[in-house]
Amino acid sequence: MVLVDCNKKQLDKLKSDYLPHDSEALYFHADCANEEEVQKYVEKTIDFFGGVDVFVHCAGIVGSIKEADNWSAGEIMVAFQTNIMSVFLNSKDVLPIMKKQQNGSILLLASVYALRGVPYHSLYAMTSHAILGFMKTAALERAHSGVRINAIAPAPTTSPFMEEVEKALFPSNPQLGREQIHSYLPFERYAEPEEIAESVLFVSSHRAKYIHGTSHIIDDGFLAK
Amino acid sequence: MEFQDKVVMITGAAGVLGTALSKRFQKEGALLVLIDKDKEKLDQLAKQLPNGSDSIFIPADCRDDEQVKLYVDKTVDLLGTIDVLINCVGIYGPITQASDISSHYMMDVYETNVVTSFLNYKYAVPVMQKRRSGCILFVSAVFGLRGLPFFSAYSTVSHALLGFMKSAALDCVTSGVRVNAVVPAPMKSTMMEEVEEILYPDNPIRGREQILGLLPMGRYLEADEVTESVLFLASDRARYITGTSHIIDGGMTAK
Ligand SMILES: NC(=O)c1ccc[n+]([C@@H]2O[C@H](COP(=O)([O-])OP(=O)(O)OC[C@H]3O[C@@H](n4cnc5c(N)ncnc54)[C@H](O)[C@@H]3O)[C@@H](O)[C@H]2O)c1
Repeated sequence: MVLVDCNKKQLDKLKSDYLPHDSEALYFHADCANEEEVQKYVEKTIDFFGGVDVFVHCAGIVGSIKEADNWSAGEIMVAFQTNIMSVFLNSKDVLPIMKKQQNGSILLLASVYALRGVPYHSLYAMTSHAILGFMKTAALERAHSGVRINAIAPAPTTSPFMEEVEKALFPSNPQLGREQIHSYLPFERYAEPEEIAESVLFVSSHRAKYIHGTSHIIDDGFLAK
Repeated sequence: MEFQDKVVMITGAAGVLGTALSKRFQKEGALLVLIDKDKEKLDQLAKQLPNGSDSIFIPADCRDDEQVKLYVDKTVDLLGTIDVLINCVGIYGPITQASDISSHYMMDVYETNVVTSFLNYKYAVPVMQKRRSGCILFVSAVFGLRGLPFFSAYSTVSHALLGFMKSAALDCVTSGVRVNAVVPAPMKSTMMEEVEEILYPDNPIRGREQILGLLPMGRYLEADEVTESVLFLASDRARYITGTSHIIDGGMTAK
């Protein structure tokens, strides 16, 4: 495993609390939206492991929660940089390696907001939609290369990310925010990260070798209604 | 063995996909209930399955309300429940311009591809809801998401299945039953061989080239590649997945 995050504290915690101490993993404290840093960790990965078989891109931010005409150009640029530029920069360095290997699977974490709108989430929905546009196009360019590219589209998932959204919705009572979000999820609960992980594992495995250019939805029926 | 002693009912079991699924689920320890209207093909399937004697084979027409009710009841009598239902009955129907299809033929495709799935759902879902657990899978096709000249009948019913699946999934959200569809690209099968021949009776190879031309990966999907997705969706690993269309198409709907 090669584990990259710009949050040093969480990365250290991952290393010390969650993963067995003898697990062979590289940790990079880096910014996935910074071209030089991406180049560096991809290069080091190749030096150390010799290739990349699976690339899962989870880096992203939700931004704040407000009406579509209330964003500043600066906020739009930050979201663009983190959610889209990072997809592009990582793919740009990882794709040629996988192409040479004639093998590899890229998974881009989008969200259900990539497939529908939700009031006050225009910025997040915009960047999520954009990820699918990139994924589909790159998939068609690589259809014969043994490299597969797909997206994962989860419903809101238990995470600090959603805690922020809850707070943004009802600053004085985030619990109300949570209830509101749960009320539009058919199962009336968030997805759990482990439930997303199972799908990521499946789609990145050889068992999904004809699954390419698609969005894998994990949403308890949220998009069906 | 992920499906040890789980009761898995497969309709259209003697077909290409049904056969691949039967073999795969048996490997995972499932108790199989295999339905097909073609008795002869069902007997052949029995011979092909390594532990054929552990499975229940029921020749029946899934378009017939009474027959469906009967085999669902029989399954519950014998095995106590149904954990997974996979609807694989389907025909491609007339391959011609939409205006040339007879209403009789349109109805036939609708009955075979949609009504069968509906009836199996109708009788299996109460069994599952009683135990607050179960998984139902429909087999649609990429033509449930896009059109193709000369395939309007097949495209109609493939779209219809997805509509049914989404609403049924929402009906079931509080009852522990998940409902999803797999959406495969054209698959290496007798079905596609027939289609190639219908497209170019004198030169089916041309038909094949034309279809492969639609597929970014330049080859047909294999039945074994569909079974892996079905297995995943039917498993507890997919417990938050309901009401979705699981596309297996090598990039076909990305363009
Ligand atoms: N073959 C493909 O390229 C392809 C691609 C996408 C989706 N699909 C869908 O996958 C499913 C299976 O396809 P396949 O290639 O295995 O087809 P198949 O023709 O090999 O199998 C279908 C089976 O259903 C049985 N059947 C038909 N009508 C029935 C009825 N009324 N009651 C009971 N059994 C009945 C047939 O006897 C046959 O064994 C179909 O729904 C098809 O629409 C197929």
